[in-house]
Amino acid sequence: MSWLELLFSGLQILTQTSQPTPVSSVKRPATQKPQAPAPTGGDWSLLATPEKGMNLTVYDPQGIPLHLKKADVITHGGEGVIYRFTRNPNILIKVCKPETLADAKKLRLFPSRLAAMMRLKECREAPFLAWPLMPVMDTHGAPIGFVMRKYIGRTLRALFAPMQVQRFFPGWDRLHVTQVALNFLDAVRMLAKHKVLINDFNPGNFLVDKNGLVRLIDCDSFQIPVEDGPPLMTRTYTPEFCAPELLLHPELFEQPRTPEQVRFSLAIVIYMILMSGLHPYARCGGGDPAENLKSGKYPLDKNSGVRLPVSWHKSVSWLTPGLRDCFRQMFTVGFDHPEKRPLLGELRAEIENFITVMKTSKNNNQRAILPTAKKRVNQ
Amino acid sequence: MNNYAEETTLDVTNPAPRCPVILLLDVSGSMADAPIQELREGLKQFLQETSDDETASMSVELEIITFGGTAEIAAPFAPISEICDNPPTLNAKSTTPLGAALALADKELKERRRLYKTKGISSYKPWVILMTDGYPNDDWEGPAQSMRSLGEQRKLQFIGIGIGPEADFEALRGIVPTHPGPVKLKGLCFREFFSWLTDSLKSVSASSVADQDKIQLGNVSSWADLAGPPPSEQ
Repeated sequence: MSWLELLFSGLQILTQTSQPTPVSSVKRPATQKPQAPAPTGGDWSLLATPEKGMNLTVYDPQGIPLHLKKADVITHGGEGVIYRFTRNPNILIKVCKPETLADAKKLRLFPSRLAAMMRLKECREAPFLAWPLMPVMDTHGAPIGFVMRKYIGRTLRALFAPMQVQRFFPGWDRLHVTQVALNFLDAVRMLAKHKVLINDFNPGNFLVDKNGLVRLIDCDSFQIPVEDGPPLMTRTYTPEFCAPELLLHPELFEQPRTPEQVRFSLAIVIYMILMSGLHPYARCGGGDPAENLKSGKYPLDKNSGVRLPVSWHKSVSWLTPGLRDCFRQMFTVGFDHPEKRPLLGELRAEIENFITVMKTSKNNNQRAILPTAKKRVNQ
Repeated sequence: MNNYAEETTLDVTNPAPRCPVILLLDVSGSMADAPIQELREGLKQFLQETSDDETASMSVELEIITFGGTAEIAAPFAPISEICDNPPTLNAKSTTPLGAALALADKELKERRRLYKTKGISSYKPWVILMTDGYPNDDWEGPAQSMRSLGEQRKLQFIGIGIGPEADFEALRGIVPTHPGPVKLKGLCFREFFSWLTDSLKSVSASSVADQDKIQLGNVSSWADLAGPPPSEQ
């Protein structure tokens, strides 16, 4: 099958591998990089720069032209523009921005990163990754972009407030969102198995669909292993989802990310999914999440000197003790000692146990996104 | 205002920082027919598109103040999705009490921010969007001072938009901050403006509070009359 045939085939051959658990299977109802100063204080004309023409033609590996229209632009990323491809609704095409291609270093790195990603067969075939499937070239045959799967869903932020869950996923309860958390963990774990590490845990980079399946987009920002050399890094991150050592020692951003840092970041996202958007370091009185994180004061640690926001005591009380301990280990001991951060398998086991407890409990509060009462010790 | 916190619905189970937005909309008699119809359509689209974004819908809390005969709160501060579900009806009538509307907006904004502080909810800088097509019928200079001053200090994103040939840009220059100053709406491109506003609020709510001033707002050429308001006489 040629690349072009693949492109027009709806990608069926690429969607045969194992799927994470859909929420419906649960028995009960299922950076932007800082740029110019903000326009405040500027002039309206500064915000009226005509957009550059973006109609362009790229070529598949066999030299067949693919015409992309400005009207088909879905979004502009930091370094690329994403187009829908009208002849195949299941794919998107990401093309480097002209300014990215004008940067000699980026121009040199792009083909090698793309090639390294394409070599990872398991990732390419994983149905939950918007992984590069095929390069697209310029008129000289140089890679300037790639084809990837298109996914439809809400970002994980749709789970970050009880009202949001109700609005975007009517009928879901804590069992459903916990299954999403487990699916997300499994996706990250599969990547880690192949030494692919997520650099930026911004929830906007992860989609969840109505079946609770999690899809990872922005895969070209991941850290990619290279057989005989250091991994290919990117510097992208979102502060409130970073391991503390990165925020406290920013020079570490120049080094490859570590599995321990990924464990910490993942645990933040998992905690926020289970706690309807509450950041693990959120405290009574508010404050910037990244600053709270840097302080290391975890409100569920009695010695932290900070308190959990009042509305959240009930939600915390229904987490299983093992899961609470796992989070406490991650966010207190693991704050200063990366090597003591619980393994992904350990966190997974505690989430599975929490799911089992929710499935077997007869108390509605056990599964409620917003419990009406605190759990008593003997419940 | 003493019972404001108790009287106002504020979802304390939403952990996202809030972005308070006030739309100050001229619904005086001169807005009748096509302008008010286009404004309604643009507003409807704004409410739907912003509510549909899972990030912006968590952060944007909207209040709509109209001025046509009297200055009124057409929709009190609430999550934008709630206003989308129950939008106010806009009808054009009577005079242009812009000063009263500015005073009301200033009071409401202060009370909302006080409420956030009381409840320990962090917030982005507020946005106030003033849209008017005529001359104020009351004293606006006094009521404008507080918000103008906040805008000059970049503690408030205060946007003043003149609609049509009769808009009083001299007054608008005295109301909104010097930079970027008032801007003229291109024709009746309300929908294009509200689309830009949605994108802007999406960008704000996707940023951290600390980084909100670093976001790059989108292109305004679809709705802003680049010939601009007439030059100041000074």
